[in-house]
Amino acid sequence: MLGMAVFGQSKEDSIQFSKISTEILNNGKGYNELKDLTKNIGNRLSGTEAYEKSVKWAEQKLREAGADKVWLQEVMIPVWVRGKESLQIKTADGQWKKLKMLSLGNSEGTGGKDVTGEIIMVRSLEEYDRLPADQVKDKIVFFNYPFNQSHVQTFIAYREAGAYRRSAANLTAQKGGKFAIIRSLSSAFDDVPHTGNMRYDDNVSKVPAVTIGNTTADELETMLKNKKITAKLNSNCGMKGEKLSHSVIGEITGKKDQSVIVAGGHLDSWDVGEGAHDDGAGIVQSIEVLRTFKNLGIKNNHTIRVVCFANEENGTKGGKQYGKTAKESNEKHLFAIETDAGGFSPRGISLEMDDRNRNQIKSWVNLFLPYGVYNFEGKYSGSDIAPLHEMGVPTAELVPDPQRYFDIHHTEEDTFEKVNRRELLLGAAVMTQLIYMIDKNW
Amino acid sequence: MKKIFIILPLFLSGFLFSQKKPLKKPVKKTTVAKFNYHDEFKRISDEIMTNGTAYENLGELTKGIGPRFSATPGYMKAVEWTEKKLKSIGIDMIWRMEAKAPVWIRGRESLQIKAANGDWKTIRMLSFGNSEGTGGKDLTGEIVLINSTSELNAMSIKQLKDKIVFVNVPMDPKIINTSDSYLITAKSKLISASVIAKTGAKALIIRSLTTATDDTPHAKMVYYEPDDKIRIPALSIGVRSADELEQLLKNQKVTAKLNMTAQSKGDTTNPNIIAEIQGKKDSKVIVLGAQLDSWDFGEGAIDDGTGVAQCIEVLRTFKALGIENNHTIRVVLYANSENGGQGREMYAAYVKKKDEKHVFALGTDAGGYSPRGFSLDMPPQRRRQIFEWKNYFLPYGIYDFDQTEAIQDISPLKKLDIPLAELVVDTQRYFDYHHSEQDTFDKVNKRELLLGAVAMTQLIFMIDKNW
Repeated sequence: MLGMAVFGQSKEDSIQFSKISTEILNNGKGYNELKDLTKNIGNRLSGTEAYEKSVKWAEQKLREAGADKVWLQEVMIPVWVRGKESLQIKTADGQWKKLKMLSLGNSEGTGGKDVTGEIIMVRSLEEYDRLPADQVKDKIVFFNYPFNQSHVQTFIAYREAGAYRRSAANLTAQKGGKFAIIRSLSSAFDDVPHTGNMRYDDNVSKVPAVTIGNTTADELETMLKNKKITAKLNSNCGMKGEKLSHSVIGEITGKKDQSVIVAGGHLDSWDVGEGAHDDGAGIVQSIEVLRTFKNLGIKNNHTIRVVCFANEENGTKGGKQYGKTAKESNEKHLFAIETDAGGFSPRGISLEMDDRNRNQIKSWVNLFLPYGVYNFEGKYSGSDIAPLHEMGVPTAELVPDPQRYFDIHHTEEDTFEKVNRRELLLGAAVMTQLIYMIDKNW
Repeated sequence: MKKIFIILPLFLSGFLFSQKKPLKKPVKKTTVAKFNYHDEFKRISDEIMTNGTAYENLGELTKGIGPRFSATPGYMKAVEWTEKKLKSIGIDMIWRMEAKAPVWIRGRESLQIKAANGDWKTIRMLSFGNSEGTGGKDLTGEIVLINSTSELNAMSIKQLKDKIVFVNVPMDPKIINTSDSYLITAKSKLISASVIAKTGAKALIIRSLTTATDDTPHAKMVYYEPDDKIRIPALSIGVRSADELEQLLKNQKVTAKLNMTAQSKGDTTNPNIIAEIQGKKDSKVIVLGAQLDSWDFGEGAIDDGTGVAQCIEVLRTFKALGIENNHTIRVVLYANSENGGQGREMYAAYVKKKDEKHVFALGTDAGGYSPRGFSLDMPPQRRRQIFEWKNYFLPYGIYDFDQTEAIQDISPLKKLDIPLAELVVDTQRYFDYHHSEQDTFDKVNKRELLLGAVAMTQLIFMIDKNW
């Protein structure tokens, strides 16, 4: 271990880091590929034709990047369709006013019928727990929990607010409410609604859950101070069974052995915006890793594999299938890294692994510092590689600057224009550098 | 950001100063047990991240006033707006310090090129700040492409005489810190009008200093030696036009036609704005500053409206939290940073003349991006003290204390032996918009901007308590 740590700081590695970064910043294709994916294919929810197009696209890009082998991995994915949707409230003069809204992903709709009721507002889960069921019965529950801006790490604020998105429908149904409205999980100061996944518990009735933007939520809160407000929801969304789809995999075979190092992001996106930061950025960064190994002629000891996971957003079936297949085929995995937090300037790498491995990676910190990467304290890695982690594989996630992500995450605003070329490429450089070190030392 | 490259005057004044006996005061070791710095840092951060008004203020400054170039009505509007803002947050010590401001008027400008037997084609351009014009007449000449210093050195006088020199040096994309790559290119004598004018060339065209890949031209301040007699029009073009022009020149002669009415019209004055919260213990000064002026296009959002808004935020936070500051916390918003630097020179001269004790100076002029650290331009023992506070800063993403240069408007204070620091932010996006019409409010993220103000307030809090 000691020998490795010392070895890890060598001049040779520092030169290789610089070669990797220079190659990517000068010749990286990630930014143009992201433009192609977001502008020519656009958003690509599981089960849509656009997703299938992106499968073909990723296959082709991996081949162009120089993968020795490219294949599709079959995945059964849930099909959820949004359809038409509208949410209205009755204003003081008796007129119906439309609110900007999105149904949450995997939510049931109203079957195209109007569902009307009085809105009651709660600010927290605790407040909701205290409400007697007869006050909720036949009402519409508005969960108005704001994104906590005081957290410097926005992911913490997101996780806190995430409880509302996940459980609002179930809680509403338990007390006989008609449907749930949640304030979006958003750090932005605008009116853009942020969709995202929700799940129904067993044994509760499946009431719809919708989300509204911050401005609308504030306005609704003000209105509710003075009087009763009636809301009317009409939506067609719902689950439409399952379908066969694919994750896309490409690799450069190991020169020494066949044990696998995985780099991946998710190929699907929500059905709004362009899925640029989430997670087109991660896809093109992962492909960039492979291309850079090829272009620089780095002789990789182990197999470097890129996985473009299917269905992260509303099922994580791609990640689960990948883990299952790896387990069944007893394929040795050395390491996996996910990139799914936006294509922003990298600041660190979050490590979910035992202390021995963690400390070894931390001993490389001086190699990473010139690239703005200093933070190795995180202990979480992404959801698509969680099944690998459960099998005992050391996993990691790229940690980019988190300040802007939740302004646009899961919205129509998640577009190519929000991505900066240098930030995106620098993230790819850091991933490639880490994989170079792991490949060499593990 | 106005980077200062004029090494000679700085060096000279440093030399003069060194003739006097430098005042060396022993560093006071203060041990303060009454503060839990982790808690104080959190209190500052929570106040700014939840109640901060810097973003809304920046919106008013950029959208309400817009560009505020030296010696224009826009600058004076910004002065009045700033004074009003400072009053509204409860600051009662506010005053103006007049500084010389050159009057330069861009006027109309156009650049056309013609390849061989083709037609004239207009190219987007921007004159260098303070550049000579063509007096509104067409200036026509053959373009000579220069890609490197060695190419320039290899040219004979005859090859450049009466030509229009096109210097096509890109910012080096492989350098991670874009401020470094900017400085390397900006310092090159190749893009100095002073150097090119001496070759007998009629005009200078440069490739914009930018990391963007579009066709937006980025302005630059012209530079001449004080005794330069010959002055030629100088301008920049966007990188796409630069690439196209380079291609054209491979196969044929290209003629350029330049018409600029730009001219300098002497000097006027513009004020720096100074505002402070007086020290409860003494009147030693901790000064923080940003530039209030901008170029004459765009909105001066990242350069340097963000810095102005952050400085106001620091004062607002000291007031809002009722922090008892030992020393005077002073904000100086500098006039004429972009095309002359008269505001900063005036402030430094004032401090020297009044012999006003300054404990520390902090600058913020690198765009309102996520903060990453502080560049510390000060003696080693002072640096070490700040290093000791690293763990307090780390939860706010502040880890980089290794840079050692202050190059913004506070830099003239260095010759007065004042410890200097500058906020270091993520540099990846800045030079996409810097000195261009793309420098607008929508490029700024609220949380990034506020987090920068958090780090500044935290550092000033620590200095105030410990120095």
